[in-house]
Amino acid sequence: MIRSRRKAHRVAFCLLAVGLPALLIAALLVRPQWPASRTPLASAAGYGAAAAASGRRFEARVGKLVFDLAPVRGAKRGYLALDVTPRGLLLAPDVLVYWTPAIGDAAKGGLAADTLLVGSLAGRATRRLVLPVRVRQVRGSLQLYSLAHGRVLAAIALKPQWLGGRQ
Amino acid sequence: MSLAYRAVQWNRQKYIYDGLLLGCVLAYLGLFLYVGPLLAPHSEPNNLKMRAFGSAAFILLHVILIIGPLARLDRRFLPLLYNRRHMGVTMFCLALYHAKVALRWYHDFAPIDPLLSLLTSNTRFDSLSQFPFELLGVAALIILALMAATSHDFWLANLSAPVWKALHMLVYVAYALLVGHVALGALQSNTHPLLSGAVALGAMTIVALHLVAAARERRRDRPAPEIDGLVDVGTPAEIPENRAKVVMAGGERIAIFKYDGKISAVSGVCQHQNGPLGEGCMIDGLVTCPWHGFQYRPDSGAAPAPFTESVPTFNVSVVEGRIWIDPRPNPPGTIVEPAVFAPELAKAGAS
Repeated sequence: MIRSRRKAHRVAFCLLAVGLPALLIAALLVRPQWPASRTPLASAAGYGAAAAASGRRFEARVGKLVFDLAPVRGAKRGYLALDVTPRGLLLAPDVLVYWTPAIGDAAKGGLAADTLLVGSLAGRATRRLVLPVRVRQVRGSLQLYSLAHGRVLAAIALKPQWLGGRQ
Repeated sequence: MSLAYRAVQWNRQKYIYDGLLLGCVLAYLGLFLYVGPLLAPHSEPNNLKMRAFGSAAFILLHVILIIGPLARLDRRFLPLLYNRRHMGVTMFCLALYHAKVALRWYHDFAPIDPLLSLLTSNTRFDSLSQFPFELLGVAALIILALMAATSHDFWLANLSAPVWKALHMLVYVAYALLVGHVALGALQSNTHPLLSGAVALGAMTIVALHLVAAARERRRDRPAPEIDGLVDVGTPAEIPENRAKVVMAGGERIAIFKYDGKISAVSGVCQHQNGPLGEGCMIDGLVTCPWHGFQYRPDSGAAPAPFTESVPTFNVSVVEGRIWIDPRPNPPGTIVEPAVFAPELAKAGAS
């Protein structure tokens, strides 16, 4: 290698020696903390009483789903991370998860103007969905909605004790 | 070599090198794609493919980048340098496939063109955690494409060595972009300490090896003192037979070879890819570069026919048992009579 090229390499690596660690450390510091969920909200085997009826209904309609709920620290304070794991194939196409401030039969009717889209349930892998801060402040329900059929398949009322917030 | 294009000249070493390379790449991909689902049954096939090819390319880039300093620190790594460009092209192909799968997975089935979606869907340049890391990967891929396209010696000859070498030094920019791509991409959602640790270890290994090699080279770059415009190289006994001693004079390294009772001095920089001629040896009476085997006559610095490369030569003399060289280079290919220090050996060599 000629001398000028050796010098260019020295300069390049002095810059990389400073820049790369800074980049890596910064990237690791800013990444959101997604803690593993340790408080199962409900499961196909043991749903809470308020959701038992709808639980049975959506088990028959869309298959078994396991929900885990945990607070999100880091970049999105106040948000809740909802892990949804299908235990089998969902028996409905294009299932979306919504949150609505309605509960009971009002939640099963359809999508209202103040309904918030949370995410989709396509596939068999666990999905991590983010519930907005409003979920802790206003009592509501999760809706499982089939985009293909255009109707709400099931609604699960969210109990305050599951969310850890004031309602 | 002429400036016209000539296809890759295959030989046994290249077949072995490429065979091993291909075998390792296929083994890695096979493990990732077929054993991976057994360990993580719910993984999406396209996601798995994307990670397999992306990680393979990233790891291969690390291997490519450590070959250079390793070869400087230990000659046993020189064989890896020989066909390194094939490794680079392979790495680019793996990266290209990773990009293709990612583009289809994240940007297909949308009302706008996938490429347009890639370039415009995330404009959070003001955020580090949500930075459009895909664009860092795109920029790196463009650099790697440029390097792969110009990897052949045809481009080395037509662009000239300094331009070609400067272009290929962009690999360091590509590497920094790719570390950013991984750090602001995969590492944002995958929090396993092993992954972050591996990326950090890879980067630090590359940097540390280069800095150690640079420190060693810097020691060798101390210019030799001149006396009356000449440089005292030492005695012929200090130079092994058919090998060279390297001195720094006139702004560049000069290789002083000893062979058959004679001493000749040529530029220490190979015309091919600026390899260290002084670390080569004499084979069949020709100075041979340790990197790719380019050869030059010791008395004229010219490559044997049909090759046309040549390196500068230097006037050399042996006075009272010590070797003296004039650090002003002669034009490449200039014949300089070798200095004879052992006439009986010189006669034997000539016969």
